[in-house]
Amino acid sequence: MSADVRATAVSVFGALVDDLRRQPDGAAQLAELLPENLPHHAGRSSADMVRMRGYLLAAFADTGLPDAALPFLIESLETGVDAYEVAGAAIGLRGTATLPADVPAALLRAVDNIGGSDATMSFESIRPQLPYARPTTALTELFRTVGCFDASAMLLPQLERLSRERERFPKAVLAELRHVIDAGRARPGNSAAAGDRCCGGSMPRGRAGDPPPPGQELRHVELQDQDGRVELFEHYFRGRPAVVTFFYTRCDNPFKCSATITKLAAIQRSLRTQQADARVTLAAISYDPDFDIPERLRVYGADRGVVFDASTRFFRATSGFAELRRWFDLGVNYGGSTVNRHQIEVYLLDSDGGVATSFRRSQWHADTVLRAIADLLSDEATTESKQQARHSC
Amino acid sequence: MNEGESERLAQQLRQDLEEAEAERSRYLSRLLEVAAGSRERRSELAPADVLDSPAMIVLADRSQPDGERIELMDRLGASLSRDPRYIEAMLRILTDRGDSPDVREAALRMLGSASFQVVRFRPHRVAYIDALRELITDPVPELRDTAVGVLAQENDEVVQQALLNGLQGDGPLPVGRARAIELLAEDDHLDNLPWLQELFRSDEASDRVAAVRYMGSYPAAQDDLESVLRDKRESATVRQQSAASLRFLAPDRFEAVAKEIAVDVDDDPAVRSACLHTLSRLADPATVYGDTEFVNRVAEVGRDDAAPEVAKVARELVEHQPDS
Repeated sequence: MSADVRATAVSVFGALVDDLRRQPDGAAQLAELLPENLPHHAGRSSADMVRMRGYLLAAFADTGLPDAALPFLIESLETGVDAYEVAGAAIGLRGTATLPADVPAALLRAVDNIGGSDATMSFESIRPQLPYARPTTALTELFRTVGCFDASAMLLPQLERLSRERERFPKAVLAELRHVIDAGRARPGNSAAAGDRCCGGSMPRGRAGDPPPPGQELRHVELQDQDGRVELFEHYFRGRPAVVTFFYTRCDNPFKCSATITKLAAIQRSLRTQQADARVTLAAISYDPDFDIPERLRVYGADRGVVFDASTRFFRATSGFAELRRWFDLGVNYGGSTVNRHQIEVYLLDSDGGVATSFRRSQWHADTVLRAIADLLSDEATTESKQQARHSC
Repeated sequence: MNEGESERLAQQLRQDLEEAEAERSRYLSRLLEVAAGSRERRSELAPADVLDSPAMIVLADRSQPDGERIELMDRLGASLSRDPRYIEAMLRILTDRGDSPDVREAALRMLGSASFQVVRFRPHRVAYIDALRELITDPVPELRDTAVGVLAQENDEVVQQALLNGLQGDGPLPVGRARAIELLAEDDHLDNLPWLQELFRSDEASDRVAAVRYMGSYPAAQDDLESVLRDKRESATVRQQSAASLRFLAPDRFEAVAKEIAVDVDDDPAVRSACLHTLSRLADPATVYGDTEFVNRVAEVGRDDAAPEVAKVARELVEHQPDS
């Protein structure tokens, strides 16, 4: 039974993290363990992935937080629905000297996201036994992290508002919140112009190294759409720019797939309003092609406001998904039944099917993608007119 | 409603209110008497600041008859979550293994109801989950079973780990093996297929029905589901559930198998009828009615007096044929 191996492997992973947190270059090595698509994440359940992720993120409090890891922590704060993972991210942030400017907002967002599903936990080991020696909760750790930085001064109005919502938090969390507020008030010059440990720079978004235009790699990728029609990837995504997102209908995180498809519908409405919808292809491709049959794709999109037409279609790969996964370097992995973890990822493809821009891991906004579409359409129009001018010369 | 009827109704309502008020007064008087008896033992019950009302005193007093304390809980009912002290008292009772099992079960019931008031209950949720986790190892089986069920529906990792450990023989199972598998299967992001395959080997048809129902979340279970659907030795109920799960995962594959079963005169009439009904109502009409040979064979089934129930559904399928 694979469950035996899995349980052992989680404890082995915990031992590895504990070892690395004591190494001089442990931070960088821990950061290398984060991407979802690495082999050590394959074959695990979502619950194990949460446990491993939360424990790993918390270790950055001891090693220091490298830049490469920061987007992963922000992702967990912005989209985490499991208290353990969110708590791990909050603890891990204490490994940075200065919070990037957009992190305090992510911390407050996590307070909102996790408020109704908080739980008692412990980071004393990766699988601590009850009763815990050092129990904590996600909300406690979120507020504690705010208190560790001058963010507590910058966020005083929001924190005070939260402290007035007494029916929202357990007594112990309220006490922690009051403590953070008092500390924030006591910080010299408590104001938005906060001091040393908050909050400068911005967090890295997107990622370098997007794949080149598809060549032979995607020749065999066959897609089936929400109505059962079959297309070759290389044919469908050529000739005009395309927005491609990845999702799966069984995703149980409302801040990931459901939000992504809802935002795709918003992009579609904007393009229609601008009468630009025929110039851009919109597509969503399932991470879970064996389960997401056409009917499920259609219902999932329609329920979130997508209007299917020739330019807007949802797909599952009926062959070549492995090639597709490799080419996009998708941030996804699988347990025995379905996806066990994935990042948020949206790609803007140019008319040759190459990736012009991508929005990965962090939450993205429809307006940002619309601006990127406008820029791409404009660039391609300029290139085309230059080519025509050359031909006419 | 005329004026006379309105007046009679109003009078009736006034009378009901008066009776309710009188009944409430009688109960409060009795509660005060009971609490007075308890007050003498107050120092043994809980910190003094907790015992500031007759209700709190009676709730905390384990020497009171179970019925008295359970009636009080029932009366507190909907107002429970309006006063955090009552929730805290219920949590203390629930986790007190020295208290009466009946009273503890009543406290668990009350807390379960209160937890549906999501916003009002939010400050207590963490403590409630902690209490439920304590019950995973409680000696009272009913409390254990309820707590494990609630936690499993929340996909609580502590209970999932306890169930997995128990199934693997690494710890005690808080509930029966079959129930443990079903509770784990509530979370389709766990890798439950091997456990569901084990559950399917049960002698109980209800366990096998549950197994094939949950297998509907696992594309890798398609072979198992088809095999169960085709197995004439299996009970009709299990095969019908297997048909539903296979159709959910792979409608095309289901339709192909269902067509074979529907016209197999040696197969179980109940399964044949279910297949015909599903093909008629839920399948792709092009697949069903585009297959002329199949439709002709169904028409023959419709004339088969040996299986009248199947014949009836077969005729319905033929009659539903869309005009093309």
